[in-house]
Amino acid sequence: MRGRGIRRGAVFVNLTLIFLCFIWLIPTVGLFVSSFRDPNDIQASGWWTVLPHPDTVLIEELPLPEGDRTGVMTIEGATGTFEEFREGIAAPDGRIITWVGNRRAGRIEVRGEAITANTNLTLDNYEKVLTGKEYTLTFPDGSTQQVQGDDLGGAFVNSLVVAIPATVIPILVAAFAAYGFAWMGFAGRRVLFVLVVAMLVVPLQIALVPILRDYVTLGINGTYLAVWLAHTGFGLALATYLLFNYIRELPGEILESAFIDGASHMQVFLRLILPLSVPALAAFAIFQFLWVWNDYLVALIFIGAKPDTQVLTQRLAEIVGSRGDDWHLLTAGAFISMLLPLTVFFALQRYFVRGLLAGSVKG
Amino acid sequence: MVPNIRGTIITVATTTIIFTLKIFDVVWVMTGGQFGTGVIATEFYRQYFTNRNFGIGSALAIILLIAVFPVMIYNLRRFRQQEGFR
Repeated sequence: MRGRGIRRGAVFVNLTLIFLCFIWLIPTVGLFVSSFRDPNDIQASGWWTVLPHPDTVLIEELPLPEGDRTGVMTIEGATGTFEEFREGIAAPDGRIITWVGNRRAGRIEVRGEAITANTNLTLDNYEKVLTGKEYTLTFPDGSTQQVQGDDLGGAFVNSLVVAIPATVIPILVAAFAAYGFAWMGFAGRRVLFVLVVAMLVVPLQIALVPILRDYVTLGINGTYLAVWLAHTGFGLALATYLLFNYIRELPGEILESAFIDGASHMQVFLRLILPLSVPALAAFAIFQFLWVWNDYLVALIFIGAKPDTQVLTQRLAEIVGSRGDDWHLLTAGAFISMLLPLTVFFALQRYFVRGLLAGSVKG
Repeated sequence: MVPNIRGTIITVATTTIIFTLKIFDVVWVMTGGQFGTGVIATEFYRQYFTNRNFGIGSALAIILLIAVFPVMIYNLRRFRQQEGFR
């Protein structure tokens, strides 16, 4: 009795989860499929038409019937006059017979229901957004236009150049700070840590204006150094807090025995604390990397409008602004920007779930 | 069940609230804060960087800070109860 109730609950939970995942995945799958489709196809039909589906398709083309074309004719089982055939006549078997052209010259088109899939997929969109080269756009009416590529490849590299130091620097600083807070006694330690906890929720908009002024005074505004330092500052509170929670839980006996053997704080930190906190370090590294990679506001303010130093999110926002109707470019660009976060997440998801929870939530 | 995961629910809820309060990029790229869709962060950017109204921009940033004060105080109280320092 009880077992059946639990099983029914599990089924309900699973169905709900499947439903949620489905809702979550649909836009991403649509984005992915659209990024491979031809621009004209995107305008004409939805991405789901790449899946097999029943549709009215052209089955065959026939020559015009011989003989008198002024009266009532019977073509492929459908009967009617020329004018009626021009509009299209449904034959008894459901096919639609249409006369294309005029009375003397033209053809007969037979359309009917069939299972079809629009598999006209291409890598052109990616080629166009990735490179900065010029390419020729051909419209359905045959006219052409020279268009500059969006150089997302360059922006991808810029994003990496910003994100990697902006991940490494705060982790280095925060690991030292967390060790100090957890295992060293010094004056003002409690007050300083309360400050860190308070800073956890302070939105970065507060600091943008003063930092920008300081950067202008120092003359480093618009450089990558400025962006690294900004991200370091904004990420430091959370990094210190998370790493502190983890490092504090490490067994104190190990550290004490090391101290008794004459180890200095520096040796304990480098030889014991750092190797033991790899899960927490990795978890925060993933978190910070994804955050910096997806950041737009900080890049917008501290990098600015110089095209050769802009990061991926900036370039993508510009494509949205300048080519809002070019869905084939937008989808390809969006997927390029998702590529690395997805890779990082799937490669390191073990750390992501385990490490962030370690010490952060207490029962 | 709920009392067991109460801490987690509160942590996630406050994090999401903070994150949503300061949202900027999605709104800025999709509508630019026009047509009545402006939020504090987009209005801050427009006033400070587009209109050069430094005073209004700074005031909007302070409003954002005041908006997160309750969460900050809650976090500090929870920290004191748990007594992270031994």
